[in-house]
Amino acid sequence: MIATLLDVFLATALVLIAIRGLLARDLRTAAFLFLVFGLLLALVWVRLGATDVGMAEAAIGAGVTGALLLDASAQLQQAARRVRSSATLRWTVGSLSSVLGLVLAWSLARLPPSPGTATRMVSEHLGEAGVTHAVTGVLLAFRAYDTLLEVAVLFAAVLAVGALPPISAPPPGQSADELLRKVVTATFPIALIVAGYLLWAGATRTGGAFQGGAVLAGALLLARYAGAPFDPVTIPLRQRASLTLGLTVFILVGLAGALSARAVLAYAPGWAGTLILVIETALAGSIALSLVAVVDPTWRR
Amino acid sequence: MQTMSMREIASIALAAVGGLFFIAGTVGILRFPDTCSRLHAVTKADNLGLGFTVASLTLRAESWFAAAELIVVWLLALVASATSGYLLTSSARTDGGDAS
Repeated sequence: MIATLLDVFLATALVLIAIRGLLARDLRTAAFLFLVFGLLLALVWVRLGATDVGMAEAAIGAGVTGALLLDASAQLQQAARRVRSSATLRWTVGSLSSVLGLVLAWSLARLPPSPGTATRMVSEHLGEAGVTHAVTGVLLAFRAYDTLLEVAVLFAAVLAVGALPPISAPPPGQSADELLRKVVTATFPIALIVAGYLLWAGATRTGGAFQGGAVLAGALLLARYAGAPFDPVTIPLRQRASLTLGLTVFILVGLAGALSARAVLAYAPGWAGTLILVIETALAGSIALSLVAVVDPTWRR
Repeated sequence: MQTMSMREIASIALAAVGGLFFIAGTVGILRFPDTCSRLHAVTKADNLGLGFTVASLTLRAESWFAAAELIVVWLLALVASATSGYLLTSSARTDGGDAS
């Protein structure tokens, strides 16, 4: 009973916040509402039993994307933050989106009940994937192709940011507060442990490269804003190597599968668990650095 | 009707007190006039609201280790909330006037 009430409350709040965000007149207000929307959506995923998606949504969907939008709106002049689009445009976009939404809802309602084939196949073959957590098995073994392309998309986003004109601002944290510096120095190792744990936990339970990478990115960004003496993304050679490491390792292991397991992106029998851990470790590092490179653009000088 | 143990009653009472602090913090952030008093309200929710919630959950924890983990979560949230409260206040003061 209380669980149903909570679900109804979450779903209603989600829709209301989405409407408020779309109708907001000020871009900063819209960015804040987007952040709140992302956090509530993460709770909805957890309620649906998809803890992995919930964590990724909270860290990347709400956290990193929200920070990006807030930062972008803060850099605009007060006047430029007003939403200025013609009523015709808004009504056109609104109607098209509503039609799309109705078509999707109609198709969803017409879908025959799922026979559970995919779920059954995953649970039957999970042993071959070398991991015991079904989500990791799907992401890195059964549908590794999708994950490989996702990582490539993230790399394309970093390339796009790198192609923007260089900016003259100094790296953040040069006048960092002394208290922030001390607190980050004390908590940075804890964040590293949590990131490493999430990466390792991916084999058996909720966790994995995206969650671990997001925590690592948060720790690196905090360290950068607190004026840490190290700068993982500024050295050109290392920057390119580390940003592409995950993608490179993934492709190499995938190609090696063509020789050892007779199919690209297949793992040799008995090696799946180890190879998945190798790929995920490289991915977590690259994902973390990519997120840092996207959020803090001062490396483009 | 099954009677509740002392531990369950204490756990529910602590969770209710925690919820009260979260409600008070939310009301404060909506109703208080300036940045400093709003931060005062919201950090109370972080410190005491989360503190009572964690205390309630430790009474239900399956093991001593799980209880210790919950307390570590609370301590980290305390550090984060105190630091961000301080940073927000000092940036509001140096920006001149309150960004309310």
